[in-house]
Amino acid sequence: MLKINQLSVKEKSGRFLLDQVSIEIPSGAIIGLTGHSGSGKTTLLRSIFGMLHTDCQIKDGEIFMDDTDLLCLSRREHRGLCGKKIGFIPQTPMTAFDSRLKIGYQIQETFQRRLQLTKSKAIALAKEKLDLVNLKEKQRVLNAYPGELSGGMLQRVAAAILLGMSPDYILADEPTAALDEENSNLLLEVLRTQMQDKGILFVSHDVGALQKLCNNVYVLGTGKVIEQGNMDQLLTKPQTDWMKQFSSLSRKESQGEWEWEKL
Amino acid sequence: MGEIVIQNVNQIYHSETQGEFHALYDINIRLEKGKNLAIEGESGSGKSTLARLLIGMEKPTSGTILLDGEDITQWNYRTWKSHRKKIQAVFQDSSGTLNPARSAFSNVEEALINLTSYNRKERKRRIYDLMDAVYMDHKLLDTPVRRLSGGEQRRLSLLRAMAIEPDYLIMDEVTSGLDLISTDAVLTLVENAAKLHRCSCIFITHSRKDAMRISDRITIMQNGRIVEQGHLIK
Repeated sequence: MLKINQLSVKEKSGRFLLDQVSIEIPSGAIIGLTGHSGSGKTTLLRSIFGMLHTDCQIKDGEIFMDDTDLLCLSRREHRGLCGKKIGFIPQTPMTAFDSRLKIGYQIQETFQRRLQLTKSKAIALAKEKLDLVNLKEKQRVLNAYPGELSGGMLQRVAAAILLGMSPDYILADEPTAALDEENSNLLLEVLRTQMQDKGILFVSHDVGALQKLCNNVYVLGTGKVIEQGNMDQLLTKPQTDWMKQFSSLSRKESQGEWEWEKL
Repeated sequence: MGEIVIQNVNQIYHSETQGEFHALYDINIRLEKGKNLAIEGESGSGKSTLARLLIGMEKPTSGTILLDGEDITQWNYRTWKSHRKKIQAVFQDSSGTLNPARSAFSNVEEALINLTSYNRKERKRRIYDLMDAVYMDHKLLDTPVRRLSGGEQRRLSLLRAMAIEPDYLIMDEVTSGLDLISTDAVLTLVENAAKLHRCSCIFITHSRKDAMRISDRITIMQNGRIVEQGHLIK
């Protein structure tokens, strides 16, 4: 289990970005996390990865991964676990890749270094995983530089790397935000079926995805957990003002009549 | 009457690794001033390429793009600079459009200083009003942009583009990754801009619901082609 216990993160200016946040992510479960922008979702993920900005500091709390307190590890030991034990699907895939290197090289290098594979096995694994995330033009993707692929395609490349690395825990930071509906459903399906044994923290604003995937959803509001429960419950019986507004907007239907023509 | 007319636009990329890649095929779109158009399509269908062409970040391989009758594909840097108040764009990754080291206020104010004749007091008033419209706390204005969250940066770059009241606004996935309440605030702001300043928006999105809310027409793209169009009839 990945367990965040009473975690507080303070900025140099004195503002608390996280205030006594506790979240549990058991293996084999997908836990949802939502909240307004600036509520501390990304700060929480950065804390787990040991990648907080230099002007932020962990003031209190623990982050246990199985029996290891991540906050007691050296920076080198902590970073060593990232990728292998804890995987990440980023919010902005454009900045997750090195723009000077081809995608194929970046995947192959990751698999060779982290999984100790030979070059040919690493490439074969890359192709297999690209197939799973519906990137059918494998050769084009592998030969492309990150700038030559769309945001949605890069997001799926990141998911493919993760499938290859197969870490125990996955932190997915709004993984469907840049994807169209078809690819978004496909990625959710990959998370649900290919990663059943992992503990996943699924950060998202997508009500449908949170309903479909998560048994338990935490709602963050300015650095604090303000609500927690099943998504349907949160929507039908919201306790806080933010959640009440969120719930009413999620029910709002589009108005007007549309006429469609195929070209 | 002002309008954007995209005529027979093709965009072909050549790269050492990929060879020839046809990103846009014979695109034809007309958008009258005061109307909003949404462009929907799967990842890699050419939506963002079209947005880049519309603000002169790239030139099309062939075809013309008329902005109020003038062919923008022929404009040089100087001409673009003098027309920046006319057309603005906000992109999916807003980190590239803001200066991370400067405060949120100075990022927005810079655009107002360069492109409008507002005095200091009017600039401050305008920025505060827009911050209220997108539900952003005034305190954030003193914060360096690097310390803002992804969603706050996105709203700030939209606010910066809107502050100068452009005639046309291109928005590439501005609501993706925003929570429902922030999305609602952004869409309301866009609706109001269309009503108050007759600003026309091209809204690139994955969300049919958002597209239907603020546009009169929806164009669906697939593999660089327009495959379907929807019109609001009432």
